[in-house]
Amino acid sequence: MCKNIYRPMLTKIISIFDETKDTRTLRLEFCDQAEKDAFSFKAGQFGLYSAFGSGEAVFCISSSPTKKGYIECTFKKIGKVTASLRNLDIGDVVGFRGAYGNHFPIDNLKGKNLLFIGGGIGLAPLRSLIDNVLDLRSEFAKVTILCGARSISDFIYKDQIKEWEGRSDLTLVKTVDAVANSQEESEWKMATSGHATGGRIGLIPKILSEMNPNLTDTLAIVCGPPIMIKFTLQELEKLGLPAARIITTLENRMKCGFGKCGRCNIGPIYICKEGPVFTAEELKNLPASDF
Amino acid sequence: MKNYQLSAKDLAAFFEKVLSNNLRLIAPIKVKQNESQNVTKLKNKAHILFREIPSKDDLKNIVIDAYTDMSAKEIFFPRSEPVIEYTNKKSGVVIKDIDPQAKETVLFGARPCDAFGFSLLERLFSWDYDDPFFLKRREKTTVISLGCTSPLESCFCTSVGLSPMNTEGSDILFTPMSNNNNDKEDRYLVEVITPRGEKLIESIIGISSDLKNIFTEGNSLVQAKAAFENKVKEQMKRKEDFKDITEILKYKFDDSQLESETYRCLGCGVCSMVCPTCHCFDIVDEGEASHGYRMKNWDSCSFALFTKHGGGHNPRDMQFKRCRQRYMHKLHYYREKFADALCVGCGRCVKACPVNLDIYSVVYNLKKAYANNKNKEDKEK
Repeated sequence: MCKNIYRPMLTKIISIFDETKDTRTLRLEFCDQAEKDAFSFKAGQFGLYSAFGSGEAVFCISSSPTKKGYIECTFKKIGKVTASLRNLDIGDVVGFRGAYGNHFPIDNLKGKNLLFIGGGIGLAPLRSLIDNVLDLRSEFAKVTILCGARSISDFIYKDQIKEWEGRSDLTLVKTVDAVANSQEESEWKMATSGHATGGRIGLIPKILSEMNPNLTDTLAIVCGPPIMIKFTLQELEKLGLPAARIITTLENRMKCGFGKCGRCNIGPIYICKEGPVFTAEELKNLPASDF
Repeated sequence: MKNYQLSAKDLAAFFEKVLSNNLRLIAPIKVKQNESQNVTKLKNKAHILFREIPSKDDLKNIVIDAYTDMSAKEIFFPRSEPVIEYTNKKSGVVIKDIDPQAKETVLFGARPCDAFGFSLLERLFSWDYDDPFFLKRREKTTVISLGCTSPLESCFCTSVGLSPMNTEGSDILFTPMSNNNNDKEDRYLVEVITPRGEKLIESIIGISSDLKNIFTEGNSLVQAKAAFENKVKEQMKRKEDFKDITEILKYKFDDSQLESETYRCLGCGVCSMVCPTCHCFDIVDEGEASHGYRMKNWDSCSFALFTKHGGGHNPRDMQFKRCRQRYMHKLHYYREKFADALCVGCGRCVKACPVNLDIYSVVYNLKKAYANNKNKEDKEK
């Protein structure tokens, strides 16, 4: 009982990746060797990252647990804490508490066909799981990734998406909500490398319906903004995937991360403790007007 | 455990012994508003609050026959407290843990409802992750509760399954008793409830022959207490049972009645501040980037910013939704997770609310509407 649960561990920024003009990924390494050795997490879990003097903010861990020695977080500059985190440089210190919450049921995914659907910054929690799956590729059946963003420049993990496109052991479909002009459109549609087809234009649920994927023995993992999740879940069910086989993540404002500060619940469910990973079936029992 | 009786006039002798044993004594006293605020209009207004009694000379200030305006939860869970201290210099970041300052404390004068509130909060603060700040203070505090003999009109502890003299959460319970039914109460039945209570009594009475003389055998009062307890329960004006409200609320989430009942809420949050069981808090850094404290501050689900996302979305974007959360959390969610409702029926929120929102009336009205509806449905069948 002596441990101070509010005390963050200290991490050092070892790399910075600018994803879009306002979204950044920090790669963090634990300063203390004992903490580094003891730390473990599973894809889907989150943490509280702090910029001292500004406070804490909650993001998922966007790197895979199979990548040892560091963790990554991807965040958009949107308020006080994210602005301060963005001001930090390589070598600067970031506080970290976690990992908290439940995780993607990776053991239940083994041997199954997987359909990953990520929209916007929702690709961050998904990437932790995708990398985890790809690092243990032989344990899973077919892998399909459908990712979308508002515009071409709004894609995060651009390099990684390129890398996925080049792999022959997965199918990748990417789409944008809209393009700026006809030149951008033709470039986007041509944008093929390796085996993937060119970029699509349209909202994720629409593209999903056009893809009309074979969903036998498939689990879908969907992350993105609430509105995208809502319509994507509807589309998946229309395509015949039962809600129990659709996995998604929720997020809400959090302060403590361990079920005490009282703000992240939707109905009786605390996202920080019983989430952030839920099946679409579990969501059906939660009051829609509390989202 | 043992029962004693203590004459009311000997209470001070007991407190003196507590102080001379170097224990911190906290009890209700009258605090004048102008001590902290310079508002003329409020100058003569006094609040009854739990405060430390530093010395023998201050014992006369203890108020026994009134109800406190704030609950005693802040002894364990202060309004604002640092949880870490950080120093951020070129040479690196250093984090210092904060000592919860848990001193051996005797808390006197909490009401049985307040004391039950401590045990409710303990369940939350030890839910998988132990909060050392709350739990260490709780561990070091012996709670001596004062049974209620004249409940207020706003009280409804029996509605939530408690009683004016219930024992859970207290280490020792003092119940004012009289010699016979018609006399004024002039003595206390002292019931020792927990080993912690026993330890205090033994360490104080055990070493003092004068206290041995004033703490006399109390078993003879136990029966009279049960009768007295029933009598006081009878006097209570609010008796609606809250037990079945949990089931009803499960189906009332989107019910327009809950919305209309709470429409006038101003979102001031006073209900959470005076509540013995509201525990929502905020974590913020106070200080500079180079040095400061990470603070845990009281917060309230009534506040509009409480759940507002960085991106602008707010799941509880209207006041009635925030009220709904408060009632749902207390009467439905908490019971599902921790076996009991998160309301002890102290009625402080009822007294403090500037627009007379009353959790008891809301529950009462919801229950009535539910029963009416059910009758109608049954008839239609």
